[in-house]
Order: sequence, then C-alpha cells, then structure tokens
Amino acid sequence: MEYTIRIAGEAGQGIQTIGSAIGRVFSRSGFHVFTHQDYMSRVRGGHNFYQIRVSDKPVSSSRRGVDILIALNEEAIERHHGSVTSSGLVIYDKNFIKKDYDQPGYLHIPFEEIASEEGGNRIFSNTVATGAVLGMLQIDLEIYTGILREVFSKKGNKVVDDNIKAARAGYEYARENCNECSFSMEANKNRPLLILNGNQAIGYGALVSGCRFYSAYPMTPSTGIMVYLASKALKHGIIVEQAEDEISAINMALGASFAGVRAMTGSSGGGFALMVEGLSLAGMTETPIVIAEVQRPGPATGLPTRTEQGDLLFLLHAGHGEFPRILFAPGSPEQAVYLTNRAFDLAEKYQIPAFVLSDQYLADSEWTFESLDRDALICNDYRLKSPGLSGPDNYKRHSITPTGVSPLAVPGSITTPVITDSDEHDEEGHMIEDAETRIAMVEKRLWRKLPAIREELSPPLYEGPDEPDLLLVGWGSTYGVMKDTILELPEEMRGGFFHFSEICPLPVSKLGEFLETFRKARLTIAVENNATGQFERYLRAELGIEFTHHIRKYDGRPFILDDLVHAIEELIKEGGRE
Amino acid sequence: MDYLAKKYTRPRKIPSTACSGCGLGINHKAVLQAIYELGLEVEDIVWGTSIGCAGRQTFGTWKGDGFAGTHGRVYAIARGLRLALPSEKKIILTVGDGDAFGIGLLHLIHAARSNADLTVIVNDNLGYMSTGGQYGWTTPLGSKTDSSPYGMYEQNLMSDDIDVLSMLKHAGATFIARHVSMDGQRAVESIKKGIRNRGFSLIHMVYPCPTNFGSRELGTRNTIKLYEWIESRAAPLGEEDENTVWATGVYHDASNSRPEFSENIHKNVERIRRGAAL
Repeated sequence: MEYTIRIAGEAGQGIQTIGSAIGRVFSRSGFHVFTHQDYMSRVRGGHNFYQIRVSDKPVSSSRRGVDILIALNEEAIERHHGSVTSSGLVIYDKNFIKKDYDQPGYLHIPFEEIASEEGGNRIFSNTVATGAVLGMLQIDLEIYTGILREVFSKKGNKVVDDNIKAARAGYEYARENCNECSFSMEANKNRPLLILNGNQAIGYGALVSGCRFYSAYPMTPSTGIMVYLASKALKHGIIVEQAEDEISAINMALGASFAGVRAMTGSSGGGFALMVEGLSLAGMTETPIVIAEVQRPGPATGLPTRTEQGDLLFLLHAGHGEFPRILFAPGSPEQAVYLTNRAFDLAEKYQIPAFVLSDQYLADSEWTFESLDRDALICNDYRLKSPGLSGPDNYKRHSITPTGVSPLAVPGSITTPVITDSDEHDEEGHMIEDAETRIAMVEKRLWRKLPAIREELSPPLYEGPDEPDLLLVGWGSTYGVMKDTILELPEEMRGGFFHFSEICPLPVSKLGEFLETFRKARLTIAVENNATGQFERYLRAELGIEFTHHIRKYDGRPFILDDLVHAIEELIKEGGRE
Repeated sequence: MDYLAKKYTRPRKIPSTACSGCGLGINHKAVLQAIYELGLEVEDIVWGTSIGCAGRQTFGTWKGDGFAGTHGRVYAIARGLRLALPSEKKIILTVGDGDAFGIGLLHLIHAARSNADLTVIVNDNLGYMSTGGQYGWTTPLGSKTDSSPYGMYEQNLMSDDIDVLSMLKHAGATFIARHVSMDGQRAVESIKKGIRNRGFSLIHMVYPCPTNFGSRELGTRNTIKLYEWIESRAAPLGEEDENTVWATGVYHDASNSRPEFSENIHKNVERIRRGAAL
C-alpha cells in the first residue's frame, strides 16, 4: 500500500498548512511518510506544490505519479493532471476555481461552502480539504482533530471547535460523494513515527549537542534552522542572534565559542561566501565552530528556493591558508541529527571548523523514523575548567602537544590568560614572524591533528547485493532516491549503492570494502545533483578511481524516483562505456 | 619601567615595536591610566583588537586574556564574547581608524545599535599607515598620502559637516568622545566614563604618525612638527576656531540609559523561559 498526494496552487493559499497536517496525521498513525516541496521564490502567487508519499513501508523519495491531487486553482489542474495515475483523482472546488470538470477522475468538493456553513467562515477551507483527503483514504479523524486542538488551542475553544466541525464536514462529504474512491489505508499497528525535515533535524541535532548560541542572517533555504532554534528559547534557553550580515554571524559565533559556549552559524552558499574569511579565522585560532550550509543553485542569487549539490568543492577548499576541517553531508533528517551532533563533538575535540552540508531538497523534505537513539548521541565537554592552573607559565592556549590538540581553556575560567591571534602566533597566542615557530604551528594545527580526525570518520553506507553488477555512488541528499531506486530496479541488474555522508577527511583506511566493490562492479554510476560531478572529481583526486558513468541533474530540482530509474535503464540500453 | 607598564603589560614587549615618535604609546598609556584609576585588575578585562599598528602595540602587550581577530570583524566577535562572558568582565577594544570606520563600519554600527557593553578606542593615525600610508575615512581634506599624492579630495566621514561620531550617536551608542593624543588627563577621564558605561562606548583618539603620515603630508618625519600640526588643529568643544579639525571632549553621554545588548537578550530569554514554566 502506498499513495502519493500532491497539493498544488499559489503561494499564500495554505498549501503548507494542508500538506504538513496530512503528513503529521499519517506519521502519528504509524505510516511512513516522505514529503517534498516545490515552491517559487514568491510570498504570494506563483505556482507551488507539496507532495506527500505515504506507505506502510519506509519511503525515502518522491514519485512522479500522483494518486490524489488537491488542486487549489486552475493552473494546478492544468500543470498536474497529466501526473495523476489512472486510478487517481483530482479534487477541487468548482465554485472557487470557476470551472467545472464534470468527468471521471475529478471530484468537486465545495471547500468554501462547507467551510462557511459548518465552520462559519471560509477561512476554514483548508481544514475542509484536509478532512476530505482523510475521508477519501478512510483514515480515522481522531488524530487530525487532536492536531487541530494543539494548533488552535491558543485561539480559544470556538476556533478549535469550528475547525473540527469543518474537518468533519469535509471528511463526511468525501465519504459520501467519492464514488470512485478505491483508496484504502488499512489500520496500522505501528507506533506513531517521528517526522522531521532536514532543517529541523540540524536544529534538533544542535540542541541535543548543547549548542547555546546560533547567529545567522536570513537566507533561503537555510532560514528554517534559525527559525527552529529561535522557537527553542522557550524550552532550552538557546540564544539566537540575527546578525547584520553573514560576516558578522560567523564572527559572533566565533566570539561566543572562544568564550566557551557551543556555537553554530548557518547559511546557504551565497551567505557562506561571506563567511569564508571567518572560517579561516577559526582555522588559525583553533576555535571550534559548526557551520550548516544549505545549498541552493548558484552562481550568485541563483534559484533561491530550489536545490543543487553545487557547493561541495567550494566548502572543501573555502578559506585562505591551510587548516583541517570536517565535512558531513547527511542523506536524511535522521542522519542530520546524528551528524550535527558529531560535528559539534569533533569540532570541539579537535578545535576545528565542522560543516553540515545540506540542500533545499533535504531541508524541506520530511521523513518519518522510528525513534532517536539518545545513547548514540555524544555529549563530551572538552573544555578545561580546572582551577588548579595558576601562574603565568602553566597555560598556553596553543601549546604544542603530540596530538596537536592544545588544552581548551576559556577566558576567565582559569587564572592564566587565554590569548589567541589571527596572526601566526606562538604557543601563548602572541604574534610571531619567525620561521621555526611558523613551521611548528602548521605541523601542530594541520599535520598532527589530521590523521586522528581521519580515523574518526566512518566509511560509506552500502545497500544492495554482495558483489553488485551495477553500483550507484552518491552523497548527501541523494541517499533516499538511491535507496528507493535500488529496490525498483529489476533484480537481474544486481544493483547496489554506496552513500557517503562523512566526506572530509575521507577515512581512507576504512575504504577497502568500497574500493573492492567498486572495482568489481561492471557499471559504476556517480549520481549528483550538479553539473560538473564535484564528488566524482573529489573521489578521483583522493582515491584515483574512475566511474564508468554518471547521472547529473542541474535543473534546480531533486531526483525523482521514476526519473532516476529511467535514467539508469537508458544508460544500460546504451550499454558499454561512455 | 613605569608602574602601569609593570602592572598591566608583558615586560618583554616593552618598549613596543612602534616607530620612533609614534603617538600610539601615549594613547595606550591613557587607556592603562584609565583602567588603573578605575581600580580594575588584569583579570577584569578581556582585550581585543584586529590588525594594524593599533593592535600590535596595545593588545600585543596586554598581560591578560585577549584576542586579535580579522580586519574589521572584532566588533562582531566581541558581541559574541559579550553574550558568553560574565557581565562584570570588561571588554576593551583598541583598533585603528581603517578598521572601525572603513571595513568594520557596518559591524561597528550594529554594535552601537545593540548597545553592546564594549569600550572601543579608535586610535586614528589619519589613514592606513601600517600598509605604508594611504588615506582613510578621517584623513583631513587636502592631505597628501601614498594614494592621494595630489591631496585627498574625496568626501569622507569627517568632511562637509558629516561626522562619523554623529552617525554612531544616532545608531545608538551611549558614550562618545573625541580626543587627540596631547589631551592628557582629559582623554583619561573620557576613557574612564566609557569603561564605566554599561553599554557601547567609543573614544576616537587621533595620534601622530611621523613615519608615514608626517613624511607625506608635512614632508618631514620631525616629530615635534607633526605634534604641533595636530595640536594646532585641535581645540576643546566650544573653543573651536576656523582651523579646528578635531573638537575634543565628550560628544554624547547617555551612559546607562538604554538596555545593554547581552543583558537585554539574557533577560528576554529568561522571560520567555519563565513564560514556559507558567
């Protein structure tokens, strides 16, 4: 059992309200959900949609075919009716759209009329629509009424009651009038599932890692992290500071971090471009910092609300000078929670910058998952707080140690001064220019730390048969679509995939299995949401491997399951090597 | 060695690496004198700077906690520190005119806007002197520098009745003063007021650079001539004449009149959290 529901219309009509409500009803009912959003860079108007795939099995990508299309305007019907499957249905309000589609596959539901009659106001139209979808799928309404109570309780009982009436009326209308409805969602014994999108997952990962300060400048599609964390002042007391620009955002976070607070900043590519100078300062002063970069297509302003994996090589090389960094690229919200947590841990353990690289597709996609393993979260405090350190010679912020990692003290926490400098400095943190100290510091900051950091990272995840014939390799947000694609490919293709989420530094000593599988596979396909195959180039540079094929997408849209399956079949038809 | 130097600075850094005749040491001493007269100890202060002459000679000699950031960004870094440090720790920033009024101006305005408890001493040597002597944003009109060999003719932040200090006042700074190195105890008193203000304070202090400014503008590195040149163009507020470029004294004192940045944030986060508990 699985269905795809698409809600389409213009910005401002409540597409997100309906979509996220339906998604939450499914997840609380124990169904697996994958949602993704396609929206234009406009506050009102334009054309947007919100797509929900629901199943009794885990799902991690979107399909082309739509079972229920909720069309909020005529354009929605014109654009999307071709995607509706033969057993699917378009629901719409002919009074609102001012056009009647009196034909099979279309169901008129007078959203506004029902809203006015039952709820007393046409603003309840979206609640009617949500109720109607649940009616068509025969999902018990109780969970939805519970959600309405949570959302509207602050507005008083009447608003809650009116919404519930509107929902019930939409539900009943669909049950009575949907003669063609053959959908059925069998009652499900699963426990309620958690549902998170990529931005929330990064924010949540920061919170559970003890992040106390987040500074950022609004930039789509990364703003969701700031919005999520700002809402957590209530429960967690985190301080979120909206900076005057991204240069200030990263520098404020570095200031807070130098003073001993777990700090983070985030942006999209254009904003991160302004942070590059601060990144280098983190490298020189060995100040821990976590940076979330949520990619959108560039160059320049690019496509603000769309997706691309175009900033990988930029992040790997950003910052003048040479210093170590960590780069994680989660493939799902669940991975984003754990990897953000590890980014905080490793940034502080090694006193280096750590990136969490995401993109619009992951940021706005919601996934369900069973639960979070709190025991798997790492919460170590590497700061030195011993008051036993006194006298001017005991503590040196940048003391040279065998591991390259100096004890991490905070100004004021010990009696000896804590000093750092953006100029090259000595162990105390004071500026120097002599060659010997320079060499010692480069070796400390870079060469001594790097081998240990490399050992911290994990090899890529593999799913598929032993010794696959066809091997997909991807990173970051393509995880879900590769996972579903492998399941859809004919078994005789013997397809498998490797997903890299721990990208820099590559844990070379742990890549034996990857390299052997890669060498034995007949077809090796690099799957990337960019034009130049940045990860393919990175692997070639680091490991000297050559793929037989690649599938690249740079239209600003994510890979859709059917399209990736089709692209692979086309590659095989063409046969042989490129 | 002088008592202040012993008390607050690292002995092996004294004398500093400043050029002969440089006025920065006078400004630096005024800051230390103010700290001393307020009864503050080394551990009461975190000293910050970014780059250039102003940072080298001041931050570099400080005995206590300190940090040197990148050019122009120290105001942002300091706001992060302000949020994280206990409120009783003083943050003093000694920076240059290019840092504060050029590359860092946006960050400086936002530090003033949010009334962050920082005391910023802008040591103004009238341009970019550590890079060899180019004009800056407070270089007097007509001055010859490396990048204005025929005399500086661009409108800047101290020409045509524009004054960077009034910009900062309107941005929300709660204490602002202007001095020249020769002001002695008057400058010390202003710095003390700045440090005492629990909010954003800025003291603009012009000082002579014989090596690069004097040699270009006056054609000589003669220290006395440059000191006289500056002094003849400075006058206490209210006593200006047509030659006055730098009117000295307190421009704006609204000390402790606006909520302080970090206090305001902590208070509000606490209020939101209390709301949650209700």
